[in-house]
Amino acid sequence: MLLAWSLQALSRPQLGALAGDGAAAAGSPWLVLPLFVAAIACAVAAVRFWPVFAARADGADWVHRLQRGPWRGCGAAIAAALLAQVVLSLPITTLLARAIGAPGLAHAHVALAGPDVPLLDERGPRMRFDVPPGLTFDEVQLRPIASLPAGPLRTSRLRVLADGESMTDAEVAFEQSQQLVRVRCAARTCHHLDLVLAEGNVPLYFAGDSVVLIAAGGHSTIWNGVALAVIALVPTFVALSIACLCGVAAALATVLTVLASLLFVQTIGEAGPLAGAARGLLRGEWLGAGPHFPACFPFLAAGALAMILTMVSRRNPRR
Amino acid sequence: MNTRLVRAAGAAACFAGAGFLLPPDAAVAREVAAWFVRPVALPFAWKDQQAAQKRGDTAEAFARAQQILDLLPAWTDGYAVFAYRFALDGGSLAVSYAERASAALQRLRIALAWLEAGRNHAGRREVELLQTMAFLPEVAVTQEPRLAELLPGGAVALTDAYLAQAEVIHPSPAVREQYIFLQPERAAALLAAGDRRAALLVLDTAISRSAEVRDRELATEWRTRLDEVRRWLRGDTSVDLTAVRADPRMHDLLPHLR
Repeated sequence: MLLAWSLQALSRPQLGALAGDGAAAAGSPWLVLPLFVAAIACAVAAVRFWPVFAARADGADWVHRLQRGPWRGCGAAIAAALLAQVVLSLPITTLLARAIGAPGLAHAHVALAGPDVPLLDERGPRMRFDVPPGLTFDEVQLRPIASLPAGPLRTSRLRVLADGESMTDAEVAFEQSQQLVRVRCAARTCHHLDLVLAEGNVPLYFAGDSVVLIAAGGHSTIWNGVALAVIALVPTFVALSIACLCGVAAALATVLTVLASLLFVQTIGEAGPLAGAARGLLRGEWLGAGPHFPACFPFLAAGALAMILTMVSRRNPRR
Repeated sequence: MNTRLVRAAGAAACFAGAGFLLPPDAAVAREVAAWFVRPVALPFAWKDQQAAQKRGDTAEAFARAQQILDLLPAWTDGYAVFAYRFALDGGSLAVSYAERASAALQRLRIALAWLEAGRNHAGRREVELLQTMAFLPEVAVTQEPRLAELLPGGAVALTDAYLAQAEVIHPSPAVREQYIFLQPERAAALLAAGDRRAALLVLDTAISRSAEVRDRELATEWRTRLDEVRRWLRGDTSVDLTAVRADPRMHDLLPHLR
């Protein structure tokens, strides 16, 4: 944490806070870095403590003879490391996150599925999205992909209608791809959301999560921090599982290298679910409802597969 | 043991003497620390900035740009591009027609304050940075005409103030005209960053300001070249770009005119 704070002091956006609420998300490296430190500390401690994690380690023969079970106690060691990491991570994901600038309340982000061909242009100037029943929202975020216009460029201006009623008198205009426009309104529910092209010739493609509703009711960032601490366990579980598999044949140095590399790639390298979830937390996105937990499943499956392979590849020792 | 003690005491005295004769400077310590942090942090910071452009909002993208420029404080072109993008972004929050001008003013003030901070590190390129600052209010007014009413004296007053500061550093009448000829470079940088809208605003403003060039023939020729580029970027592919391609002042723009 001290390292993270000193790095943050070295590179802190000074005018970001003036620029708007979203600037806090720029502090995500200073959240991920201490989580990485906590994860690697727990994981390395587990590998060094339990001799069966590496081949030919001191005391491994005794453990093989005494500790029965498919993983020779490695499963329990991994569980202990994960528990220790939760204890270390919770202050980081709750208190440090608030100190970095995470908003006090987190709101669910609900992406709306569009029509089969979600293209809004002069030939198809209206598009309808079904809103989940009962969802109360107070903001719509639009981020379409813009195609090249036919002829000289004229900015595309849209009207946003909720059940046929105009949501705002604000200008909703797009000229280029990935441009974000947030339309705020009073908290409300509706059945359908319509986007109508009022003027302009820039074709807009609303695929995937191009239309997102922000739920009006908020959840405490403390609970969001707890969710992040749980997500932060996934890279550690994957790294320890694969390190455990390597340990069937490899010595301690190799196992530690594999462990550190996997953790680095999944956290700092952003190959895992942690970095996206950390950004979501700082943006005030409720992690319980977004894509962050589903994004963990492939990694959990990889870790589980590594554990199964470890179980299969360990031979029973002579007693 | 005594010898070791004497050596340790001597070393401590040398350190204390060095500290007394040349007191440690926080800025130097910060720069030395930045040497180590920069190669580690920059690739991730750059990737995060690009991700913020695609997934985050304007404020996050600007804050991430500040992190990059904190690591590369002498990169004046970076200051210019990120400040222009922020000031001309339009803001991610949709606002009513009546509120647009005040929102544009807020963004312009923040962008200019950031560019002002960049002057401390600009070195020999401080004049260019001041010319960049001088042009930004005019581009912002091109985008949001009612912003001029909120600027005391209009955008021209701000432009004159920054150009006057540039003339103090580099006393030459060329300073006032030179900044008009810098704009293709600025537009090219914005196009390279994927911001076609801001690049077109820069070109629109440069065309309107080209009337200030005292050599009338040069002004007309310059305006024609800029107009050709603008029309091409707006989708008019019937424009003949032969003269633009032959003009060395437009070289930065050529990769974006294919």
